[in-house]
Amino acid sequence: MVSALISRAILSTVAMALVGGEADAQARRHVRSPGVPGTYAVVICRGSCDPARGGQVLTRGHLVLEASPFRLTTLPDAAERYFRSVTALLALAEGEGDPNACFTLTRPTSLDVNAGQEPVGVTRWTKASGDTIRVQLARGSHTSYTARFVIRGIGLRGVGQAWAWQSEGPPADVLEGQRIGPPDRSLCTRAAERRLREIGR
Amino acid sequence: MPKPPISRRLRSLGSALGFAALLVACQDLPTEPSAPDTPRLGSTDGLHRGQAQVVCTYGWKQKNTPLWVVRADTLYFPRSELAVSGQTVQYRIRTIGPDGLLVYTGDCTVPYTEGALRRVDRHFRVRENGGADQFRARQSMITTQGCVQDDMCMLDPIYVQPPPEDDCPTCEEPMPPPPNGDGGTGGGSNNGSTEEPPLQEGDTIRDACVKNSSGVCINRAVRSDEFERLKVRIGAVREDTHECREVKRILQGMHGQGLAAGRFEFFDGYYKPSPDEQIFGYNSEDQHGRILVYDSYWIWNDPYLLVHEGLHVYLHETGMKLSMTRDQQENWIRSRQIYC
Repeated sequence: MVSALISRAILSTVAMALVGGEADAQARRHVRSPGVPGTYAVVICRGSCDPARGGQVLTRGHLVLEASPFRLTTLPDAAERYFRSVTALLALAEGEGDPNACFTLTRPTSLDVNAGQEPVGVTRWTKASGDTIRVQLARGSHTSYTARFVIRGIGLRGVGQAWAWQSEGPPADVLEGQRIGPPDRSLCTRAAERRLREIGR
Repeated sequence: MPKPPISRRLRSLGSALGFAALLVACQDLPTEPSAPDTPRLGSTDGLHRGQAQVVCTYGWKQKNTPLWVVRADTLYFPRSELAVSGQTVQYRIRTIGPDGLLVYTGDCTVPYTEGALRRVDRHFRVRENGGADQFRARQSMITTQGCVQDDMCMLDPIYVQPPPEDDCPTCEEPMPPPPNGDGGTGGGSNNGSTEEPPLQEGDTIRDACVKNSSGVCINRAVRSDEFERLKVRIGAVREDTHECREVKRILQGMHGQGLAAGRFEFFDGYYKPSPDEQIFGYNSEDQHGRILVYDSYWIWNDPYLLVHEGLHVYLHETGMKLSMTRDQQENWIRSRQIYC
């Protein structure tokens, strides 16, 4: 009798655990993923973004991924002028259509690294393979910096890779981020306007 | 982000005035779509739905003079925007100044498709009531009027009016100045202005460059007209910083050796060593010294490409590059080129 009760209790516990696990899984499934579009606070680090593990923050800022492309002509005049002139290679990328993303990045002036080379820009996010998203964050005469990452829930995790023609690329940087809200393009246009004033254009 | 209200108001005013101008001045040459068997595209392969190019002519009145500058340039269309039958139409745009006089003209014979007309609209910064809107409006009438099939429809000239400069000094012009804006032919010079037309995103439809057996794009010599244009661009480099002054000196020195010295080379077509990466310019050299190599399209459409490669020469000549990694060189140059 006692053993039967114990057995039933164990079975019940196991069953509850199973049901609970299933409920958790169902709950997780019902928490709607916000999807790709959004504004993400991002940080790019060398090695790791955890200082305790010897990581070093190279640059931090915001990445804005939009649901659809936008025309540069829809931006405030000064921001449009900045993107068309200072970041023409990135903003007007040939054959890649209108931009659907933008970013702002700041880094300590003492750091001489590729990450954050372009402090603000409009760019494009594309699905690289599977869930991996690709965003170019700088484009120069014969160099570029590209982020590749996956989004899980509100988190963003991946790598940033510098490229230079005829040069062995440096080790990839670590990219981490968190969704902080819906796409807010004004973060980028305000930064572009500030930058335009700074460089006296 | 919306444009400032004043800009919108002026644009609305411009549209209204443009419409009024259209009513009074629309008796221009008829612009019928060409018959399917008489296409007028500038490229023969355009007739077979390959990439096509057409030549546009532009005319604009110089400020404070009665002189007009006339220039021709090429527009490119992807095959998806060519009419199946090769049909074309005359696209004409006219800008009327505040005094009601004509100040700008643009004329192109372009594929008669909505996509092509929208591309030309973008080129001229026509946002509404342009060629594509006219095309779309006609398509909805075809079933009742047989408008296009019997070639009786005309593409109306597009009239725009720029906002008065005094009222809106920072407003953008309603259309670009003609491509190849520096220099000028036909009616006098344009005072050596180096203003380039803003590149419209998505406009660039090109083939890949031709590569040699090593996979490197084959360069060509700079043409004499391009060499003259380079001179103007070098002359426009700002001298606000020491590095800018130095790079200008270097570029002028290389240019001063003359066209035959071959210190500048171009490659035609996009140069992508991999699907995700593109090269726009680089330093090369021969026994006589450095050679600056540029993408023949982007050299005129990126304001900093010329200076960027010149700053590489500066780092080379000063020996500074010896103590810098390639990443450091790029960072150093990119943080300084924007002031030139």
